[in-house]
Amino acid sequence: MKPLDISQLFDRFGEAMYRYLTVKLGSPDDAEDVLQEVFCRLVKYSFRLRLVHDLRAFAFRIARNEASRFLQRKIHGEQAAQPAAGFAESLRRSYSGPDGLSEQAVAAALTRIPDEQREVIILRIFEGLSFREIAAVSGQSINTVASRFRYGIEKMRTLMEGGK
Amino acid sequence: MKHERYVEELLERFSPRPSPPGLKERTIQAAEQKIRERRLLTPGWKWIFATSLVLLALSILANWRISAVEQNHLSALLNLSGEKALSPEKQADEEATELLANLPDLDAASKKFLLRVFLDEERAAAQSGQSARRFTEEIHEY
Repeated sequence: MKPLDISQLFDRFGEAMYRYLTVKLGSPDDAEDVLQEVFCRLVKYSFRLRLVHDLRAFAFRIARNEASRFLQRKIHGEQAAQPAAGFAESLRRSYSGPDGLSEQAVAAALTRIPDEQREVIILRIFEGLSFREIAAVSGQSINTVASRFRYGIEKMRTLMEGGK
Repeated sequence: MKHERYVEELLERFSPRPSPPGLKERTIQAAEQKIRERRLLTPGWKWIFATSLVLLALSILANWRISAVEQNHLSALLNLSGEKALSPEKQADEEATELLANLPDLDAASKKFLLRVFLDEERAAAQSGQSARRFTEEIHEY
């Protein structure tokens, strides 16, 4: 069995994972560091990757785990981690909206919803993962993921209307 | 009031921006570099590991060979023990002396008779090629 080529892996998931990590970590530099770790792991598992049913979900799960490890190291390190501190800027760097006002409104609303809801919305709408894939990435049930999405959208709507 | 669908539609209008130039090359290069650094068996270690394995195999072989030779020597020593087979007279004399030491009150005639019995037994045993029946073999505990 031939291992999967690292270059092919990057072409398939590299940029999407970079955007996801940038938004999750709030820093493009941190995202690039973590992405390198993710690819180290993917290469390490390269022989087994052929057996993985949903490679995209698997790759995103590794990215999520690596991001969590990175944040934990940062918390235990000298600087306290604030993953969403640069969220608005990271979102603007990763995704372009129809206009500047929309970008600002969406970024402001996304910043104010809980992390787990924001993650589901980003993976579902911006990266096009199915609820099943997001469930595999986050280790939650499909129902939980779908609920988080609904609550997140509802909260964003409220926030964008100017409510609390 | 904005409908929920409005928010989803607005989010769907967002599109991914291109990633910074050279990201792919940098990521792959760095990942490969990290894998090389973390590899347990670097070429140098591979040689050390292989040499150690060969030395270990040689030492096991040598140990086995030395043990075998030593075993042969010991066997040879045990089979060809220094003491030669005693003559029936000498054997009988030794056995009688051993027994008589425990029987100090025996008279001279009985001693002589006992010695003769032992001598006859040893001679018979020497002729049949079997070891003589030892006195001790006749001791039973009830």
